[in-house]
Amino acid sequence: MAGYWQRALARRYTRRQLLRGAALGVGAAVGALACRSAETRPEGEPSLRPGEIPFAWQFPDETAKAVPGGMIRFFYTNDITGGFDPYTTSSRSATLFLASLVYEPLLQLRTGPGIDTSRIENRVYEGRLAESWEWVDPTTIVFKMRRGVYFHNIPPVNGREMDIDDWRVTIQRLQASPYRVTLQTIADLNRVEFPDSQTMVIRLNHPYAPGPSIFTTGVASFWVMPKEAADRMDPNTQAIGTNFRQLEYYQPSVTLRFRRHERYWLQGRPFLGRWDYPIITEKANRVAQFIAGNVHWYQPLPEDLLQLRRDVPNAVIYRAETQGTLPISFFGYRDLATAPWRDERVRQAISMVIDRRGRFEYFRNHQELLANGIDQRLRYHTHFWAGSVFWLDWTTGALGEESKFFQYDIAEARRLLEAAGYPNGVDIDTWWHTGPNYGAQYIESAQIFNDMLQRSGLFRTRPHPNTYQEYLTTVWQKRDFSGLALVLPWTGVDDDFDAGLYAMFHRRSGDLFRGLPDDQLEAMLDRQRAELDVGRRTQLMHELQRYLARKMYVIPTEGVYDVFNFVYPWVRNIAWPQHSWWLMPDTPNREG
Amino acid sequence: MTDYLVRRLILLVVTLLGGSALLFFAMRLLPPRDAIDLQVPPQTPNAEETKEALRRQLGLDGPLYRQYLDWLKGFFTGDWGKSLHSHRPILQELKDRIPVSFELGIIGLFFTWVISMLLGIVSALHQDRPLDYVLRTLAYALDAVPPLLLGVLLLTYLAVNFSWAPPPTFSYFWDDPVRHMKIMLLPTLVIGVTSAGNLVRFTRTFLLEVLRQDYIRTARAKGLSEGVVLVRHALRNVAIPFITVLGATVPTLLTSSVIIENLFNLPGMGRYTFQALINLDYPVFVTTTTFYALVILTSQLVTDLAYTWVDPRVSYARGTP
Amino acid sequence: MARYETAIEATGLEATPAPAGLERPLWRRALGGLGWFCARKPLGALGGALVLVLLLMALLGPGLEVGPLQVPRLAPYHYNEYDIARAHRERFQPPSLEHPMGTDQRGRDVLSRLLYGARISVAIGLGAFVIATAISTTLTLVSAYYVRSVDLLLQRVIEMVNFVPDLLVIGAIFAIKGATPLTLALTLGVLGGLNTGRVLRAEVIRVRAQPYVDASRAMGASDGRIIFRHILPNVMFWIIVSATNSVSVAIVAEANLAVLGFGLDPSLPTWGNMLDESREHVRQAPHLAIFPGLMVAMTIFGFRLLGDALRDVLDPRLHGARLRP
Repeated sequence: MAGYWQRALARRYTRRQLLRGAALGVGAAVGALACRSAETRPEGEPSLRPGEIPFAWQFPDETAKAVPGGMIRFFYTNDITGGFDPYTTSSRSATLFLASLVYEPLLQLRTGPGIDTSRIENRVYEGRLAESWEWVDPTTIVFKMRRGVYFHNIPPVNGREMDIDDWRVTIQRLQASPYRVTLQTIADLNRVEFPDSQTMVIRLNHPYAPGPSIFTTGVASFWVMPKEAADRMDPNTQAIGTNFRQLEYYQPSVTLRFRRHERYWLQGRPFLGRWDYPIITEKANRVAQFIAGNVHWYQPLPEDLLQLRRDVPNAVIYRAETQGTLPISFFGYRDLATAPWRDERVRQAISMVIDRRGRFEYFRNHQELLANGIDQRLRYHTHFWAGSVFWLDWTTGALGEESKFFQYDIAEARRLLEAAGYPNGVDIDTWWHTGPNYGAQYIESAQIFNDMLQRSGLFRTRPHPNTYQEYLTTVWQKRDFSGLALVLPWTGVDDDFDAGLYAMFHRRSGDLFRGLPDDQLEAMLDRQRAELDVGRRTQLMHELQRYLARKMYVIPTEGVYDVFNFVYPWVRNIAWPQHSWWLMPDTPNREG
Repeated sequence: MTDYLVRRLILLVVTLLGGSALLFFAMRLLPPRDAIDLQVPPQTPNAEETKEALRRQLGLDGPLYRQYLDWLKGFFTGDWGKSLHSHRPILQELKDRIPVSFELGIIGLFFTWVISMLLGIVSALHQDRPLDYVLRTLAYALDAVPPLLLGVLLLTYLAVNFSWAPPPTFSYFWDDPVRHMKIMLLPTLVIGVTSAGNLVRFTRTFLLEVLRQDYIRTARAKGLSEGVVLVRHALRNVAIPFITVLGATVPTLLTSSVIIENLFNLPGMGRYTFQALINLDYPVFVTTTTFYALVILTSQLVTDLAYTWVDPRVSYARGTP
Repeated sequence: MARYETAIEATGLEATPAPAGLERPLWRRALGGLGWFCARKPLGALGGALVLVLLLMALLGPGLEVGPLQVPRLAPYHYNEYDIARAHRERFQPPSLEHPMGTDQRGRDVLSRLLYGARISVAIGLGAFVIATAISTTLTLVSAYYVRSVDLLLQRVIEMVNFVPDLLVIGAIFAIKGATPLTLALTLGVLGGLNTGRVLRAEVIRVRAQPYVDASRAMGASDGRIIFRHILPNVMFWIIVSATNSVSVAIVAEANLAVLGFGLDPSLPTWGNMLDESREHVRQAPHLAIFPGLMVAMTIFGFRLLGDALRDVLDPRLHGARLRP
């Protein structure tokens, strides 16, 4: 069973990305993932078209030249309004960001110079806190714990060695977590056993084809916490993990500062002495800090990239792994019995008056970057996360006949509406919130969506911009609205996207978006999850994807894209995860 | 005088009690009524029990009036409760933030004072001459500049043209004075410049008024030089009305600086309060706002008292309207 | 704002009755008055001109349709006119003949948006002023002139509301209920009314104690007569000055709220929203920040100049009075 995941990938797919939840935040993104490829030249810069920007994995391996010490300066964009505990706190994104810096998961994707994860043969999961893992049979996974892992030397844990009880407490906390995102992924869990001091056995009720993705970094992460979290410390105010960064100092609204974990299990790492994450909420200030050299790393919006390249000509620019959110527009349940959108043709028509290419290229500034020789890879979501294992591209027609439901085609949309009995168009309420919580781009995205509906001439929208609080309770939690809530930036995804689909469409883990009963859909979801044969599962997933495209219970837009990061040249070894980054000896103000 | 003081103190307490009650019940009774709902999504298994547990933990169970009384008792005994979201004690958080906001206000006020004194005096001495008009126009213009615009442009162009930005990580004066001053320079300057306009006109008006007084004429008649007259006789009297104006500025200092705090990444009180508002963290919001009120009311009282003390003609004997 | 004026008032200036109007046709008097005002208060006249420009922008910018009268809009484009497919070419254009104030991140014309925004801002300001004046005058006359107990109670309530900084009160209301132009005007109106009410009250109490008021009461004048003949004329200038204030207060409040995330619907082209959005693009397109900023500044500047000049001219106590502490 152990090779299922790799076989599945190797057999069918050549292009796939590990996707991070956008929530992981900027800093974690840099080092968390990287990749290797057969055709890369680890020595020196790769040969690229003029103006093209290399991926991080294309940079040379400079580990041998490492000079330890120094403080690297990143930043974080939001105040941490919740607690530190990723399993209980209510304001999640900042907390998950912090968790990814302090704790470690069981498994991780192998990354480093020359590893191109867009090539499937390079996608290897390796143990991080687990030394090894194995599928013994379809419903049993066995993890062996790594020896010689020490926690941070902070009371009450005091740098003791990790033992199996830490895993036990962690899994208990994970199961007790009020957040469905973590729960749903282990919904099939029967029980967890700890037969000896080094082994964890996970027994499932049903065969679980998606495999180990839930144990890697991501939204549903398994962050190993010390057992003291259960009784002797408050994990909401203290963060003690095993990561190579140890939380040294936190002052609200000021900074998160980390220092090197002296007894990190990977010998000789990390090279860096300190990490500073000042909390800078204002964009103008962040840009100014980067230009002035006070922070070492910055990720500009695509429309700012060319300007920033002129402003900081000595910066090294690299591409990070593709990322994005899945913006979902979903229907309200207030007039479930009578709403026009009960008819699938109306839902299809809504989808077809949205110019997805126009939107996406606008948000990613695609044309201007292209004119300057920078080719971003834009891939468009279906109901499956773009680039995930079973995703089919509607722009190339790989989705088949159902591709047309994603194409921009007002004439066809009009025909569909006429067939559904709405020759004069449809009145529809549109909802979004105007709070700062999802960022400026969310609000703009909703406005553009609304404008597209309106300008198609087929829909007359009545916009309802809400406050965040009102939106959260009436729109999101109670679904007490009529019409369409626009472009919620959904991030509830894992590698395989099985968990994401379950969360969206299956009653057992929430049924977030469907509204209308559909037993066939639920049966399809259950069947693919239990199907261990790679070929047959692929077929099921493709069928499911086409079925969802036809049903259009929610309207997905946009897709995943490349991001471009700027880093000052004194930060070296960026092809590796951050534990191997180091700072040049002549770095200005190196010790902070 | 004592009579007056006692009367004012009683009024202060009454206002504080009434205002905080108004605030407390308004925050809890207006929809969405229960911020706990925001924390525990309805799909959570055992959602109701989880909510109950959270409420108990945060002292939000029981009848509302009792919660208010508990809160009130806590407010006066130094137990200010915890944030709904981060579970951090409010008092501890405020201890770190109060110095920042006050310093921002006080240094900002100092810059305001310097600018307005300079412009105001020059303007008054050139009354109705071109320079007067130029300076007065400038004063009105300073008033009109949005602080955000000034701050954003300063940050951007200082970085682009001079490769300089204030250090990104805040540190207190007692930890690192040089770094601290580098951090505080821009925000206080922005506050100083954008709030000087009113005081320029104020200084000018009062200086003109004082200069028309008989005793100034006497001083001049004695043959004292203009400079001595100005400094020894005129400016001293301008200080009196200035005190009232300063007192009136305290509330503005506390809140209007929130934009500056966000822009320049300072850990101030305004930022804390507005974050609490965004997250409907009502224990934090009610407590910090009441604290504001306490500061504002006290400063008003002190201003009024200082006014009597500086200007003996004002008395607060009973019967004065 | 009001607090500075209070401070000025607090020093106590001697009052003399206003001079009687001259016997001339009304328009001659108005024109003459205007000329006198311009000559006497050049800064005030400048302010008046700016205010007039603003009012014209608000009135004509988005076009006008009153019954049969149709005035085409002054704005060259609709405020939300953009084409998503061309946005990458049309965005962030610096000022040019075609777009005198450049274009924003979606390629929309900034000048047109400012013109549409002017109407929203002015409407909110005027709305707030009407509400504030109605509240402050009624409250003041009732509580300061008639009933002592009502007054006592009312003053405490006003203090309780006043003790929270305005920005926080508005923020709290909008965090919960959301901001629309109407709610913003209402909130600003009520708060402004309570603020002005405090000042007016002091003024009414002062006037009430004047010997001539006592005299006319002794002569059997009705309350109405005393209020309308003696008290209102004396506080009228305050109401006019606060009117000039309320538009700039509304504009500043709108901008602050937008920046803090409690503003009006971001789809509306208010100046605050434009200023807020511009922060994201200030390096690439500083004109996005500068033009709305200038509009806000110009409006405040104009109203301030006009307001101060009007107060100097209208305040009965300043007429021919020699200043005395």
